[in-house]
Amino acid sequence: MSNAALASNNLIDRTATIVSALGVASASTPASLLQNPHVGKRWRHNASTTWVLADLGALFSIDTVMLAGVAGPNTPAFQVRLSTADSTGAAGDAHNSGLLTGLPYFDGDYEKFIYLLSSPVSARYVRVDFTDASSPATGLYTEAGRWFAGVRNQFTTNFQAGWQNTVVRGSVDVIGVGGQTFVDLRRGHLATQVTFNFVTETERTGFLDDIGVTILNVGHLDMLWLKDPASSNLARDSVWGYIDGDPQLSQQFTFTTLYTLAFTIRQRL
Amino acid sequence: MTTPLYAATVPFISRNSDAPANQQFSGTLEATLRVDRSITAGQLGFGGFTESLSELTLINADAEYDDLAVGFSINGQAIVCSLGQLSSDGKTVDPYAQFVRVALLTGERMRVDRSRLTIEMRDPSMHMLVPVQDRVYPGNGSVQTGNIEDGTDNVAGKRRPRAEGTVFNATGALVVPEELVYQISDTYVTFGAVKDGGIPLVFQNDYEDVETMINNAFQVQPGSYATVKELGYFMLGGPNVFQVTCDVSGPRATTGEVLEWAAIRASNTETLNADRVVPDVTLSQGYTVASTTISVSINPNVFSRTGYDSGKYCYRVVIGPVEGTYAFGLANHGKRSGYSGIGMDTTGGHGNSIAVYRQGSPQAGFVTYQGSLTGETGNAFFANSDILVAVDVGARLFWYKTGTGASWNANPSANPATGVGGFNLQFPGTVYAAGLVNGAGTSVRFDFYPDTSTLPSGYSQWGATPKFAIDTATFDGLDNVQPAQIGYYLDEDQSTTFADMFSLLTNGIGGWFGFSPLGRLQVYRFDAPVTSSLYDYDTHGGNIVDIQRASLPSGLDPPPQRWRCKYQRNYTVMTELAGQVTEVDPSFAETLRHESQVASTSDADAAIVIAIWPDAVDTDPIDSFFVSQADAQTEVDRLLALYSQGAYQAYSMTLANAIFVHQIGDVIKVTDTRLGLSGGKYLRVVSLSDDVSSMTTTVVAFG
Repeated sequence: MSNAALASNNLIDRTATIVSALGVASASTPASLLQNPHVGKRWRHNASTTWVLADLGALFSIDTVMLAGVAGPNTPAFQVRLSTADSTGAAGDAHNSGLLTGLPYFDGDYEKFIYLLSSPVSARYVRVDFTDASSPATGLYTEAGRWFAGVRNQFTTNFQAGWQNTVVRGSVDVIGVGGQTFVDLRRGHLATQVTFNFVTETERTGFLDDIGVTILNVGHLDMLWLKDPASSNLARDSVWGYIDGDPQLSQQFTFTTLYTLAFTIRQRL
Repeated sequence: MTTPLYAATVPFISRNSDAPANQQFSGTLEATLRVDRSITAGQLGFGGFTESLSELTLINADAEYDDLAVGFSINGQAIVCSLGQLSSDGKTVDPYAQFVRVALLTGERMRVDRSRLTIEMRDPSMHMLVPVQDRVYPGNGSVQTGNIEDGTDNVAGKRRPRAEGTVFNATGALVVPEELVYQISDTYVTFGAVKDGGIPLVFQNDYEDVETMINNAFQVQPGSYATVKELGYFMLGGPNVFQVTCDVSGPRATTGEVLEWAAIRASNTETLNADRVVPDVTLSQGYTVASTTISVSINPNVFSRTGYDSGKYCYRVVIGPVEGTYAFGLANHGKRSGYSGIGMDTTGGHGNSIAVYRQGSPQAGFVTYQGSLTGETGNAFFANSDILVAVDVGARLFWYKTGTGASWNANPSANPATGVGGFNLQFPGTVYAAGLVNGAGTSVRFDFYPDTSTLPSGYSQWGATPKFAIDTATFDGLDNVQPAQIGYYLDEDQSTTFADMFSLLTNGIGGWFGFSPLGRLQVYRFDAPVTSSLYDYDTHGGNIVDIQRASLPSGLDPPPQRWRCKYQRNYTVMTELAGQVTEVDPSFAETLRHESQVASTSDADAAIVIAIWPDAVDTDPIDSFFVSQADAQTEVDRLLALYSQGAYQAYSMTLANAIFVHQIGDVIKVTDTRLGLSGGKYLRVVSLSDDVSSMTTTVVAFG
């Protein structure tokens, strides 16, 4: 168990970042959709072995890489390479994850791949390779809908007991005169409610203020919530989403500069 | 430039094997689609026009569609709505090819705001808002210039009249006053009588064209008349004393036949011209197959409806399974369906054509023009031959081949795409596709939409893309349930639209028409529900969410005490009649003085209705177009049994799992413990509202 973290400064979304891929299935499935806020709007390549590459334009610290909306007919393997100067991204001189399969990195039920470095490295090129780990494969394709690369900010003191993880049911029910329930099936989503009672001054004026400023000036910010960075299933214990409602930060103890922060992270699909 | 939009309630990318392949469907579609249809606004009872109206919205909260706010129109664009499924684990969307298309609508207007893009849609009924009589008289006709059929200046700009079915006592358009030439219909007609003040004149002769008829005027004595029946003209032998009227029969007889013709014309579907065909030739449903059951004395021709002055086009001819006399080729508008076969134009009229006949030894396809062989030959064709004809109208050349592997014009170097080896078209002017079929059991099918992959480069299908599809089976069905002859006439002063025509004729038989959600024009008669159904609904596990009794339309509650229908429409109500008529046949004189005859249910039947509903009204007669009293009587008796005996009620219900399943007119079986439905009752659907937002269908049904 490790303290929860938020990764909010997405280097993939920087204006200067150029995202490319080994290939695309059609003009409507470009690699640039990995920067589109909708996870459901995906890049696709009709191949089971492929890669995506982000040129950040300059060196940046990175310790967290996530791909959401990862889909394909088979179980993929991944390789994350962070490079300082090789524009193909293949060098991996800053970091090379080697082949990653299954848990804790990827869970097909959540269609999410997460790779966490133990400490940040400096890199300009971020490359994730997909390899079809199973065979035989039919109808080869690889899809991904959202990409995050950046650093995560771990809370000094973890959230309190009483946190809630809600599966929000989207289906619509109609009850007939005969008493039956007719269900109009619709996809659900996740929402996590947490409260931190011991947010430090450094955290308040640091990454939490960065989040607040973005919400203040831009109006919205998508981020990665990591309930437990040491989880055995990172896809399950994380949410790619946004702070739903108004994040409430208040000073609870007059004699120290510690704060209480409560927020809800709502999943983005 | 057209920009397609793809949106779905769940975002997905279509499969590589789908069409369109690998297409991103944005997840912006709100589940708001609702399609409403109803036949509860008929003249009396259920009927009239069922219109599909709908609206859908795409989420625009993150400005995805802001660029469409300016300089973008959705008017007239096709909107395709399909339903698909997620896989059982909910992770993937089924192949787009497995989606079920539930609605094909036409965009009308769209609005973009900060929240959403709203698209208003409707069915293709706008294409029916054009006049039935699409041709007007130019009014510059003269014998000298060979276009006397266009009429003189007194009819300039007026619409050419049209007679459908058996029309009684109609007044034609006087198109050439100095020659006493009238046109009674812009179609082939059979003249029953031409009358002066009600007195029948004597038939003299039928001519190939109006010019020939006028040139033979000296042979038409006073008191007699001549005709050009294929074009619907007649000429008096001498000045008339009273009003001149006609009894004529058009190429079609029943409501179903007339409406199918109208549907094909309104949709602009290319077919054989059903107005230019002799009665000995039968055209199939959809007017693509011409057949004969006997050997006709004059080889009968058929023609395409559309002719071209330029361009490159293809049509396909499939010879029937029975050997007989066949030819195919090209003709101008002056070529008649009678008088002489195509390629045999020796009668001196304006007709001109070229044709390919099978003959010789060894047999080949011989090009024939004005009765003589041109010396050009292609492959022979036989029963079941499949022939593709390519015409370069501008270059006045044509080619044909009898199968995929065959050479064009039996010449390996001939090629329509390069213009090499074409046969000479011989005659100038507009070119129509033409064919000839003769002999017992013979038939020939024309395909004006041959597969584009088979066409030479640069060539198009003969037919333009239809504006909407036609459910021809429903027209067949209407003919089966209502085979009565009708008479419908549009004179030169009318601007009746196809929509008006459909409304009038369907109301006249207690029917309705409309477009299915998939944009197919359908026509039906409203009858009591049959006692079988594929669809059973009940309130205990049977997909009924709610059910109530519903009101009947105001015209049926209370029902009329008496049902009356018009028949034998008199299209010229006459006040001045020849004395011979009033004296010898006063009954006929009375017929000529009234707008129609009326069939009615009996006083005894009315008394029974009044006993149950004392406030039952005695309504105006229904505007029917029946020819015979017997058919009108049958109809009023049917309506009395259907609506005025209290046997049927209306119910309103909400159904689950039935979205886009039903059509107006479907019969469903409904069971409930209340409302007289405990034993199950068969009901006919008269109103439908398919609502995607709740995935329910609201139904009003009668039975």
